[in-house]
Amino acid sequence: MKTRIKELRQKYSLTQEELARKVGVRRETIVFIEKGDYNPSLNLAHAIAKALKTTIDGLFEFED
Amino acid sequence: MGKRLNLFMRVFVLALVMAVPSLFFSLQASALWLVAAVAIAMAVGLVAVVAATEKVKSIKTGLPLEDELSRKATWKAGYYAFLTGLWLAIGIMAANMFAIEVFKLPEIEFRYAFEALIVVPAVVFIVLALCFKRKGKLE
Repeated sequence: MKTRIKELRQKYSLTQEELARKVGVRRETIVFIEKGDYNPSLNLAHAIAKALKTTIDGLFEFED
Repeated sequence: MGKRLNLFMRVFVLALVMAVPSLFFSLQASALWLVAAVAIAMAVGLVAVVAATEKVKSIKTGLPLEDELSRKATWKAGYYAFLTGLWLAIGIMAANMFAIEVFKLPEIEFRYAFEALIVVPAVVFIVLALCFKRKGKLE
């Protein structure tokens, strides 16, 4: 799974810590999601997408 | 990571199951007491340091102490700690029976077995929870 979190985060000039604070998780969680090491729950994916003004589909790319 | 971790845990638990009863039989009572006391102090110290560090970090950053990833990491660590305790208990029982029947050694004292069954899984849990939280890959 690939994500566009870093790209969108930088577009809105948000640090990892600021994004983590917005969605209510630890900074490390955002780090691992950006690296593709951790698959977030649907709720968290939705919260991140909302914080970055996009949809879940716009945020994550699943490899078939 | 899953297969590697499984293999590592199997080898680690096997090593523990062999090492802990061997330790009981090889050390004299006074040395065993010292080892147990040090192990308990280290386990408690480790818990205190880790908990305090995480709390301070959480207060400084204003970020939550716990989230879905840290909860999953904790549950996974708990699962492996439980298995470690289970196999260690079986190993100590088997070693005790084998040592008494075959080698006519004195039985492992209940208090040392009890302490081992508390301290060893606790340390395994703390270490694994830290590793899983740092790694992020839980699948």
